[in-house]
Amino acid sequence: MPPLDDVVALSRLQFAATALYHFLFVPLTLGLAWILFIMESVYVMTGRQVYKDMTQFWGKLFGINFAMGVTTGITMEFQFGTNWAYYSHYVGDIFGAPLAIEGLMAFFLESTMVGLFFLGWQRLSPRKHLLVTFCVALGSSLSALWILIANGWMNHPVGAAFNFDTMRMELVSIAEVIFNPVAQVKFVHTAAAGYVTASMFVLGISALYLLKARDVPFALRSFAIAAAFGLASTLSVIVLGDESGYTAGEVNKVKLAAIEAAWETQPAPAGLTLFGFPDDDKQTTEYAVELPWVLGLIATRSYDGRVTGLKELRLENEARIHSGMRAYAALLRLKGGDKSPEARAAFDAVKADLGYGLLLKKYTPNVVDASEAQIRQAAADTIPKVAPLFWSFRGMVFLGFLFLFIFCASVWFMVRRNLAPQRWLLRLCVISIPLPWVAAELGWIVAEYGRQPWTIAGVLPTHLSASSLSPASLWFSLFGFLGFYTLLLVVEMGLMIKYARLGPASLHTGRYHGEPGAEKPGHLAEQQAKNEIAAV
Amino acid sequence: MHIRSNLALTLAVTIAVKCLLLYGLWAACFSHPQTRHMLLPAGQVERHLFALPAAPDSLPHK
Repeated sequence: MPPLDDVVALSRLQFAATALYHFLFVPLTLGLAWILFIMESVYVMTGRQVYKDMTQFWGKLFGINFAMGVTTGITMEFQFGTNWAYYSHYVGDIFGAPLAIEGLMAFFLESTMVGLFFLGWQRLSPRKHLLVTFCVALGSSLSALWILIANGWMNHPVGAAFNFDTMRMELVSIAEVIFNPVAQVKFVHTAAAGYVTASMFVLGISALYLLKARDVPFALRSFAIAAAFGLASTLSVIVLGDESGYTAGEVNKVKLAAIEAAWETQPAPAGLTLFGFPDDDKQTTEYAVELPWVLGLIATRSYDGRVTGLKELRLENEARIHSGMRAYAALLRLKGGDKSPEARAAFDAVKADLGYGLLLKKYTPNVVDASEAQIRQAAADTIPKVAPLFWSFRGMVFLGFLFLFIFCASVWFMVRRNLAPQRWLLRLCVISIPLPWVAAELGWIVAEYGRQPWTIAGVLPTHLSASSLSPASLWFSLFGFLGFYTLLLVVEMGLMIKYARLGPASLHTGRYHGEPGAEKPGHLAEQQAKNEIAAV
Repeated sequence: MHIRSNLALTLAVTIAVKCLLLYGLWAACFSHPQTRHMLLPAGQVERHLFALPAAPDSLPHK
């Protein structure tokens, strides 16, 4: 709970709340679009009506999620200008382009194609409609790409330079921003997590139909596609998550060390703390269970690469704060009117550490004369609280391996044509439906909380990024957002549950459970479905 | 057909209400951002970051 009148903490809380709510809608859109594309592709290739029904039914649930989720991200852009004025000014030159492109992608490509997807079934040939579905999937992924390029830049600000005249970061190389390794790995990891979410969603609802022995041929085919796509996506998430850890180890050592509660620099290769209770005050991990070598091998991909511990990183950051004080003094000289080559050279020599000098603004208005105690305090701030990161990361990884088990088991029993007796697995699939959302939110907590105390890593401290607003106005808008998003979530849940219960009967084709002339539930239908699956 | 049109109507009403609520939130809390086009007057940034004596406010050149 932040202090009631702390503007920076309230601004952070508001942004975190809106981002986490927004991301409840995003992953399902990201993944379900590709699952629809797979289902419709099979329909176009085989001409079997059931695949068209699958595309239309799951497309209906996709439509509900899309309608609820669209524009929920725009609230974060509201906040940039109002709550984070100094941040916006500092990064506007870099951030403007990806955000504008994302807006164009979302509103023109994605939304137009979603409209065509729903209205085009009678007006377009099957192949043209498939192309539209592909564009829906591509558009949603491209939207995510541009947002994650912006987010990746906040974690690893490349392709930009500080201009002391305008007092902001300015774009030097758009290619470096786009091909930023942090952004690229973040995009593929996040997109794959969305695919896992959608796969679990389809798998769980299909499992529910199978448990109730209703719409079995439809449910088995949906289950098969979700299980295969989910298995591939989960493997991707795990591999790309490992890559993400490796990238963090290279460019954001503090985040990696905090996630792993690596207090000390160990001899290479470092051990991985599997479990334990990190204590931020004592800077130790109680009851630690350690796997030797594993962290060093994962984080450095070598036997002799070191994983620097938090205590050593803190000392390194203290040195950078000293350097940042010199940068701050050199900048003051430039802003005071001395634009001589010597003054510029003095600033250029240390400008990379200007952000570290700015950390001291929290403790003294006069950075140049900061005391050693203030410098030590600022250095301590460069280490985020370890316990929340440690547990969020382990929660996410545990869930990732649970998903791997579920999708592996699902594919295994599908291939062996022995799914129906595995009621434990079907029940597990149903109760696991919400878990990918939990994993995704934990992942965002690791990514964003782990970047503190920076809004732009190493460049701009969070406490200098926020606007000068009144706490009352922040509380008002925070409750406004919470009410708004909760209402949307309740409507979404209500509609999803209603249409999931109705199942494909909501298509009114006359072929499904509850419709006149539809199949009878039970073993016979299931056996028939198994034969059909085998034939496919 | 009845259910399909019901869903379309529900979604249309929800999107309309959502846009109204969003507009209300924007008008109440976010319609007067401190930054315009992601730019602040340079003097304001300097005062914030450096506590320098106030300089005449001017938008930086792009």
